[in-house]
Amino acid sequence: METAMPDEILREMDRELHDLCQPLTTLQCRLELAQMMGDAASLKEAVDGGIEETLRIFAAVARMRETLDKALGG
Amino acid sequence: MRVLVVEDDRALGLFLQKGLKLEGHDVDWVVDGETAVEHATEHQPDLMVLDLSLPRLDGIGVLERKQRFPNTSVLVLTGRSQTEERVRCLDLGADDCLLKPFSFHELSARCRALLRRRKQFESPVLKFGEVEMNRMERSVLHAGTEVELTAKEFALLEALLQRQGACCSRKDLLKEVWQMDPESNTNVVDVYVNYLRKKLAATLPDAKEPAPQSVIETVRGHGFRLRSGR
Repeated sequence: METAMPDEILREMDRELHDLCQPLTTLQCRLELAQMMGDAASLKEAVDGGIEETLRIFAAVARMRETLDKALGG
Repeated sequence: MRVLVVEDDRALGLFLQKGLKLEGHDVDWVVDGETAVEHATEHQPDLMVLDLSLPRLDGIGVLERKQRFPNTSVLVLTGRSQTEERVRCLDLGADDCLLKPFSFHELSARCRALLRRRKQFESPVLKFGEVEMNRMERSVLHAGTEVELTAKEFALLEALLQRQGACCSRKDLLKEVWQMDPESNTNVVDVYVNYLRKKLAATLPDAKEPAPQSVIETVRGHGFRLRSGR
């Protein structure tokens, strides 16, 4: 059964999706640049920085889950 | 090509700057909208890569001030997929929009496409006040009289003409015309500005009493700009 989501929840999801896009873009660019450079130092920097970005991604996903749980009455 | 990246996310801004530099562009990076407008007004970059969510003045606010940097192409980065937002950006003068998350390769390809298009439609003629330059014919007229310039003098005048009376710093001129480290301890810019002043002043009817600053004005402690009237 489909339930309509309140506008407030949709706006919050939109904000959180926006917050998710930021670290995803950074991670993608970081990895691509390391691939372009190809040297060991760049690859290590990409891995170290990549972990920071995945933490930001986890946080954004957690906030989205929380919002959805609230919306679904969980 | 001179590119200005406007992105408040430090990690992303840093990587965009690094990546575009690797592609051979001369890249500056600022983190808020007000600084972006100031920087673009002063330096008139070829391309601005503009994030929409910015502190102090957002990307829409920057686009609303686009008339201050009319010759700069703008590529907008947005994290929101609404069509209305992209339409608004394009109507305000943006040349392209890219939705986050994106691949650096796509961003870079879009930058190249914009710069190619820009080159294709660029007029060979630059004009400001009584100075007219034809880049195709490599000729310069001042008050209707031809002026013979060396390659460096020509490049220096071109850099000033591109800014249409806005001030250009010595550092920018060193970087752009001489491809030198902007921190170099040299007076080559001042020397060449003087050569240019003399050559331009010599074309005026009252050349026996040259007013050497009549065309290129010194902005104390900063750089030079063209003046439109005598």
